[in-house]
Amino acid sequence: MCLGGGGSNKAAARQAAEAKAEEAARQARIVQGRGNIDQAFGQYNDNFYNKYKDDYTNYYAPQLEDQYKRSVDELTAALAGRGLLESSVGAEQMARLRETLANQKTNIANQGLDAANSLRAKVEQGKNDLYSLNEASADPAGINARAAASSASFAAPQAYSELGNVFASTLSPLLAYQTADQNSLNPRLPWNTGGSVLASGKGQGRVTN
Amino acid sequence: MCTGVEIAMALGSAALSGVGSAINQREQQKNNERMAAARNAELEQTRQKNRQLSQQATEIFDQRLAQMSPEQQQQQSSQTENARIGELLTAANEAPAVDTPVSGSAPQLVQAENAKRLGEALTRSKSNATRLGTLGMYNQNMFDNNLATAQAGQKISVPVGFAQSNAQMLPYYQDLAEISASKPMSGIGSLLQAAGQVGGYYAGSGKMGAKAKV
Repeated sequence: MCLGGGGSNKAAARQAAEAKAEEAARQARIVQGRGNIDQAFGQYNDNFYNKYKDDYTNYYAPQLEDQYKRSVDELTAALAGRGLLESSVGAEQMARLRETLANQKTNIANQGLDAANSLRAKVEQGKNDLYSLNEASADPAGINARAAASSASFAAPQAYSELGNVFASTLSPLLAYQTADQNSLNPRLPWNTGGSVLASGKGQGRVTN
Repeated sequence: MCTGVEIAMALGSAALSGVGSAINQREQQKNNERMAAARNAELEQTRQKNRQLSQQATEIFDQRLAQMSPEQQQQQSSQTENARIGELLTAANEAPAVDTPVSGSAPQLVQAENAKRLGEALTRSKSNATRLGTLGMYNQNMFDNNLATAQAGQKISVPVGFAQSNAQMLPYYQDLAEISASKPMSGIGSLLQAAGQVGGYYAGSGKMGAKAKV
């Protein structure tokens, strides 16, 4: 006991020192791993989400503009056919079309904001998963590679549906009128009276022998 | 009959044995105190570390809690609402690529009617955008709060995890510290005790009296 005691004391002291050093190193690795994760996810800042929101809006805005242009053309034709283009009814219909456009732009902007939030939530979830992994593994080198891979996966493209026909409800009464006129026995719209203007025989012409 | 030498020897042996026992007891007590001190030192060291970690966690929590105060929340809601309304109004106010086909030669009355109807329509759109912005503020605020709370939770999990780990390691550190602090008995006490027993046995055996008579 007298001879062996000193040796076991030293061994215990060494073991304790090693265990403490290992634990301190593990905790330092966790801190470092978190730093690596934060660095990898640094690209997902406010600018990134603002750009995503703008990209979302920019995807739908041209579709909306295109629909609006076609709707204006259709409405113009329908109103002109009834002689209402420069009338209070025409003005009201055009104003409603414009109102629909403005409301749809508002909706797209609103959806863009929500889509950016949704993306941010997904990115944060991925970051949290990596934090958990980091704490479990306490391996900053491994977590660095995983963080880079994970952050890249968030940049992968996502499928977006196209914009539906948002002006249909505004135009539908006039289009219904057009259809009813077309099917009528006594149509009043010029293009329903006998096909196209050229086919109707109206306009100038000259027959030569 | 015991001689005086035998009595003295017996008393001396008893005293020697008593001193040996006392030395042993004292050494054992000292050892126990050293081991207890070593365990307590480890405990105190861990408590010190965990106090700092707890303080870090508390600071993060307090900071987050302060952000949830009614005043802060009101301010945040107001900023969120303004920002959201601003975004939506910008979108609503955006002029279309094509405009409505009203010829410049249209009568003044028609032009005025068009402008009036368009103005009313755009006013309704702006109002719609404002209302949508206000409505969206609630979800946005909730989202921002949840995000900030989740981030604070993540930050807190680090010191809390370290503290838990420190606490889990503590019994092992204490055991090792105890082993490290313990000292083997010097053996002097046991030696004196043995000498006392031998002396007592010798004094009681009567051999000393026989020798004295010879």
